[in-house]
Amino acid sequence: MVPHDIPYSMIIIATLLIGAFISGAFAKMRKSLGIITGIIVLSLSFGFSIASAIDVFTNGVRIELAGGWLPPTGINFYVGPFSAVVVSIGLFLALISFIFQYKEISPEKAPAYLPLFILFVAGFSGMLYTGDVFNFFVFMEILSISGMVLIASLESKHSSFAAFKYYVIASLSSSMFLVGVAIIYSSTGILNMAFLSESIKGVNSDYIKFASVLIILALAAEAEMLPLGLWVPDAYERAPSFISAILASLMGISGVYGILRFVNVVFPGVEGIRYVTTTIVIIMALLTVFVTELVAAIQNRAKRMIAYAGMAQLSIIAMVGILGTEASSAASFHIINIMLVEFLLFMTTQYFTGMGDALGKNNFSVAILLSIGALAAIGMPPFGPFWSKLYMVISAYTAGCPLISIAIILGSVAEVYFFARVLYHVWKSGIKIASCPEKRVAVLMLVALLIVLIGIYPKIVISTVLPKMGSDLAGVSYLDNVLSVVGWSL
Amino acid sequence: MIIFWAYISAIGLISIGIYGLLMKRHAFKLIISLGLISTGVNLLLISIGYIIGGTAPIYPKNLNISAPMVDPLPQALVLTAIVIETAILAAALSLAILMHREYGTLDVRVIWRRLR
Repeated sequence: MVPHDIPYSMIIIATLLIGAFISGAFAKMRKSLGIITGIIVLSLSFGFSIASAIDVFTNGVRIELAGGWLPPTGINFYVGPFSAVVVSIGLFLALISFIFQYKEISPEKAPAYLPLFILFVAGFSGMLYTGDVFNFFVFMEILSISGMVLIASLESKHSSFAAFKYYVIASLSSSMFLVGVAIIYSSTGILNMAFLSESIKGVNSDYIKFASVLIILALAAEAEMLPLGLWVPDAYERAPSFISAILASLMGISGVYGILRFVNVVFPGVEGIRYVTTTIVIIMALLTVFVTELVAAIQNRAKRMIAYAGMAQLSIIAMVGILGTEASSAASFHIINIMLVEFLLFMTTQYFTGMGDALGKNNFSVAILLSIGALAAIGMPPFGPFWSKLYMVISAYTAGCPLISIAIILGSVAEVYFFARVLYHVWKSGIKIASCPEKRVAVLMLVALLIVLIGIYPKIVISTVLPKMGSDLAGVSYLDNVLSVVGWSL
Repeated sequence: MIIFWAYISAIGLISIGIYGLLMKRHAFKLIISLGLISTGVNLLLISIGYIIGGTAPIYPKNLNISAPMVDPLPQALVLTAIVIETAILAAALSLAILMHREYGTLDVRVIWRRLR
């Protein structure tokens, strides 16, 4: 159906990287030119990501070699079912957010702002595609530098300090990641994830355990897990809403994906490391779930509350994702849902203008959209997250971790409380909502429709996409796929 | 011996950075502390790839290599890391300018109090 011999992942990343600078140059001439270039670049890469997803699901995993160099010397991109699907959704949401910001960006800011936005998306795609540890670090830094500047980009109140907080944590975590990589490289001499997972087995496991702790802690900052995720509430609250939406749905997911890649693919061969990695991830995640759900309940500002709720969901995904293939399927289902729900929630909160009149006719549609987002985030039946939460509860229980199931259920109960407060204020009294242009409502309706469709027909997703995504996330036959390119076999 | 001292200086730089991060409350000093930490990490990476008596990893024209070559990969990594750090540093300093414009101070404690 789609051509097979095109290196999709590299084309997507190259399009985004080159397009970022072209759009900046055009924006310098005229803002609208820059925006149009950006839309073309994002749509092109979205199209390629869809094509790569179709190809992956028909022909299996694609291993693409950068510059034709064979791994472990060269860098390879690993386009599995998971990354193909998640990058497609991410690029779709980024495209919507990019179109939405048209009016908010002033012509003086556009030449710097537009490239940063596209670079952010490039960092996200790169992190999900790459099969090389250091390359992963480079894309992570592209993502975090551009994310940091995007938070403060529109100079909204207190945003500079929120971005500075993120800078301190991101910089510290990138140093920790590098030390971890240095330890791994000094004991194996390899940076390719697949080959690393094999050659790491014979190494003194104490060094690797220390490195694994450093790397997981570093990624936890990106995955919004406490204690390093403390930058999240401030940053998401102070950043403009279309930036918060894109940060919440892309950045956290890439961090969680990083943790799961390292725990499931790179480290598992080392003797006795399973205990160390799972303990750290589960302790941090449980801490995050309990603290954030409690703190969210006492928040009075909607964006801050949604940020806390999102942190809890990401931690749940990280916990469930390390429990095996079946649980990984559940986690990847929840990743799809959470990306859509968080995006919808943040996009609709930008129309809150303070306390005031009850709902009028023109802002009725925004209230509907917000309610869909809130009900879906709780995990109410006709929406997607209901099925993914249920799936996660069951698979965590069958994997022998009832504690995680209980945490998921308790978290949902807390969410009922604070999202009910939002719904009460929206429908009964209180929050004043600005009217939203019809075109924007239509686009957001598309996202809401996806959430509802997944909720009504969960079987289609569960039976077709999820098994492959789950086994990809759990790292099943990752090594074999890469080795088959080199022509080796174990 | 030289590798030993390289490790010691790397750990020293990282420790100074961590000390600054924990003890100082001025945004500019925090930025410098984080810069020190990443410089220490870079030094660590370089010293991992060093071989005693090794030469630069460049093939000479006549291919007459007398000494062993040091590992080129850590150097490539550090080169990338330095570029990334420079970008982060520039972004952080511009954030500091924005903060000073908004709050009139760079003392993190004062800004924190104003946030509430």
